[in-house]
Amino acid sequence: MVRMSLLIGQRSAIAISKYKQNSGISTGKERQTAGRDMEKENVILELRGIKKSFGEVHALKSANFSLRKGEIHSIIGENGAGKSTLMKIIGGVYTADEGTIEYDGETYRNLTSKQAIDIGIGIVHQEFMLVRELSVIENIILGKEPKKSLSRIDFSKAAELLNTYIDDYGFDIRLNKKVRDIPVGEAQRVEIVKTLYRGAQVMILDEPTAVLTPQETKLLFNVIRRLQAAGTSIIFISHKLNEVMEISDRITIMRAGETVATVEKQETDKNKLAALMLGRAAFVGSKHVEREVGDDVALRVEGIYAPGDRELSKIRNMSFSVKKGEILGIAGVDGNGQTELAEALIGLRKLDAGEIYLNGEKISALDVKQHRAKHIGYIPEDRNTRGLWQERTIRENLAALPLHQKQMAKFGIIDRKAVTAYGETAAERFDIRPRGIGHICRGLSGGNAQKVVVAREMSQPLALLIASQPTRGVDIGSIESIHAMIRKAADEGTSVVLISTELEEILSLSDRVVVLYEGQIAGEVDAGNTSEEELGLLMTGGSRAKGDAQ
Amino acid sequence: MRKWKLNKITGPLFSIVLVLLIGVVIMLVVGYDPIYAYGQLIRGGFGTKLNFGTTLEKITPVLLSGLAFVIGMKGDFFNMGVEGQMTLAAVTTAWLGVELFGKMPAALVVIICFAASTGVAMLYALIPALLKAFLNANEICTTILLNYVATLFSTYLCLYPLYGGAGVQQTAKLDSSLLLKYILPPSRANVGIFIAFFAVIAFAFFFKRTRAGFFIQATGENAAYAESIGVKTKQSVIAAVVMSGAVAGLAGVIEVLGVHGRFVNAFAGNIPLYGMLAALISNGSFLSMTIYSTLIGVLQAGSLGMERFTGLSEELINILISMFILFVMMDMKLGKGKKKQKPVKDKTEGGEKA
Repeated sequence: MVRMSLLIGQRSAIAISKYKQNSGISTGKERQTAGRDMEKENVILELRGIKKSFGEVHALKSANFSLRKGEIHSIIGENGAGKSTLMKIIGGVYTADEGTIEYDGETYRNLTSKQAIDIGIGIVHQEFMLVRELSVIENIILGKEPKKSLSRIDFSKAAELLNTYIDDYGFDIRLNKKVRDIPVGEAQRVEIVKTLYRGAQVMILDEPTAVLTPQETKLLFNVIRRLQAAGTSIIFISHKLNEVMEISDRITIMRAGETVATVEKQETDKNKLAALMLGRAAFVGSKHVEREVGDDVALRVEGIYAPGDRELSKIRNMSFSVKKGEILGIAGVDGNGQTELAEALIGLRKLDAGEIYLNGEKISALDVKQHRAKHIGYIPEDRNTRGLWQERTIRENLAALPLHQKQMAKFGIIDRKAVTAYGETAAERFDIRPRGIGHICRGLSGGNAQKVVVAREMSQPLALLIASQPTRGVDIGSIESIHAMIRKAADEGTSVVLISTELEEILSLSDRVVVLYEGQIAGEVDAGNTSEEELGLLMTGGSRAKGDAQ
Repeated sequence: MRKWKLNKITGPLFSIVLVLLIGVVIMLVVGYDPIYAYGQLIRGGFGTKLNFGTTLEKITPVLLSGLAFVIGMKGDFFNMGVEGQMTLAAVTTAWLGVELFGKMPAALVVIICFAASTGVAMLYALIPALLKAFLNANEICTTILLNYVATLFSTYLCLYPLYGGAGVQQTAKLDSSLLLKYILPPSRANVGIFIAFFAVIAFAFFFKRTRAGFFIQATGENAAYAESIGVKTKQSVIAAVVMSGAVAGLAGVIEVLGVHGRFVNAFAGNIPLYGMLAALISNGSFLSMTIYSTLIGVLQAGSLGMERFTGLSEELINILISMFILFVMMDMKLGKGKKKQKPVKDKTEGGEKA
């Protein structure tokens, strides 16, 4: 199998090395000798006993990891399990406190990031490291430009090489577009080509599918398989068990700073993985629950137009309604108007046209405080800025909303006892783990930070809850409890607008699902009876299902 | 690189020692006896009732300027306009003091002077506040420009309509019944120092314990958050700046009624600058701002004594104060840089190329 893929990869490898001879770019590949391929069970990268602490926090307690040549090796684990730290140690961004790194037969105590690149380790980060104002080709060759006479950059030579990648691996990228004009999926492929261009033999993809649609994910998987066929070893990091099961050869599970197991894909399944990951049996892939919803319409959105930060109207003529106690899921790829819709609903963003009614009352002209007074909760998508005041205590963040009311602040003076009591109750009810609610929010794990936001927004009875990406970047345990809270609120009569790019979340929680595409509702699907494919097509504008935008 | 660690307390202390040592070197080079000079510096600050009074007199306006600046910082507003606000309030007091004297009881005149002059300073601060809140105009730019308007207008006023005679750029002397009570005669230390400390405590309480203070700080530190919990962020910024202006105005009134007894052109001098620096190096903390302002006041008063007895120019102390601030800033920056040691290689490469 490996042997065969090496053969397939030869063509491009030859093209690359031919080019490199001309341009003087060297990579790790050239250092490999044919004989060495067979040695050491084909292990290219091996980490042993890696430990890393940040002050008191032991990010990695004992991490062991080995990567075979040409395999796709997934790493899964909850937030804070140490995946990113481990990858940063491989990439030379962090230095390990203890342990060794063995790469291609050589042992290193620690790598620097330059060394890592030189020996052929490439990382595609979650946040793309691209210059928005430069073209794709400029971004790729940046720092390693092929030169012609008088130090001029030889763009045609670069394009020639990059086109061989594009042909061999089936990359769908346009070299002359500016990065700011290309979609996320394409930017990610640009990042991959960039690491290839720098001679990566080991490619680390850090949660690459977090920003992709199902279709784009498929494309990415095709690319990954072709890279594998050409002999590249791939480390694939993900939260999503489906993807891991689809793409991997082997899977390493991390938990609390340790690598708890490495398994062959054939010998495992999703439930086993999730159990290993959580350290306890967990229910995987929450199922859709049929709920009884009354007939009273609570929220009515009528033909709204709302501006984006750059575009004149990001939301264009959108109408929908939500019944009392109903959860309306709004699916869609990021950037199709989710932010604008959520902010319009809570009064943060002024409407250009259209009206919003809550229980028959017009609320679209009110400001945020007045919206809050109508019992509207808002879980912002970005907990680090909109959601939390990072420098302040958990307690103060929890009590920030009732602070507007008299019982929290008599004559405008904050009643500290009331704040503490309120904070303690909320922390207890919403299971915020670090019990010391006097701690500042910066430094909380994603799950706990998000629970603080959720607790603040849901501590009081709500008529409407706007939940925007309520579980983004949150560990599975916290996802489950946040979902339970949302369901419970809906059962108690709160209407919920759930805006999320996580399809599983949308499908399992929502009573009805609509898909947002380019600021409009592209269609409605039956939550209990749809496929990710149907949704995916709507999300990418591929098709329009029953029920037009109106 | 740095093996020894400096914290919040040892850092500034270390800076003081370092600065004093540099002072020793300078004095030796210029040919003075550093022990004698420093002795005179301390005597100048605390030695006699007069000297101690002068220290208190010097602390008051620096402390109030620092307070004004810290309040601006809470609303994320870099109030460079303390000088202008202070100057306009001072000239208003000088004018009202002359104008209203004899027409009503002296106590009432003083109250009107305080109220009206701080009001003028607040209105003057309102201009850059509105420009920032509604037009997003850079406050550093607007406040510096408005300083010129305020100081030059005050110069005009004390040269023409309010000219006090004697060929000096100042207004007429106010009646002694209007002046703030001296607390350590013969020095010019006055009850203003109590007003200043009271103001610091009041505003520290306001920002620590009140809802409005909480909301203003939320706006200053994270406007997106403040917005989403229902704070009217524009109002918050404006409120912070107006309060900042009021405190700056208070400093001007106290300088007129407590120290000079009249408006003296360009009386502000280095005061707003030192206040601002005290606020900046204390990173918005009321307590350390108070400590730094006090230290600066002591050094200023002491330098007068030192100059009298040793002939060393008080400018030396100004140099030392500046160097002290520089060291504290360096310590802050170095301390920060150590934590953020996360090389993001591609970005920097991109940065170099772009």
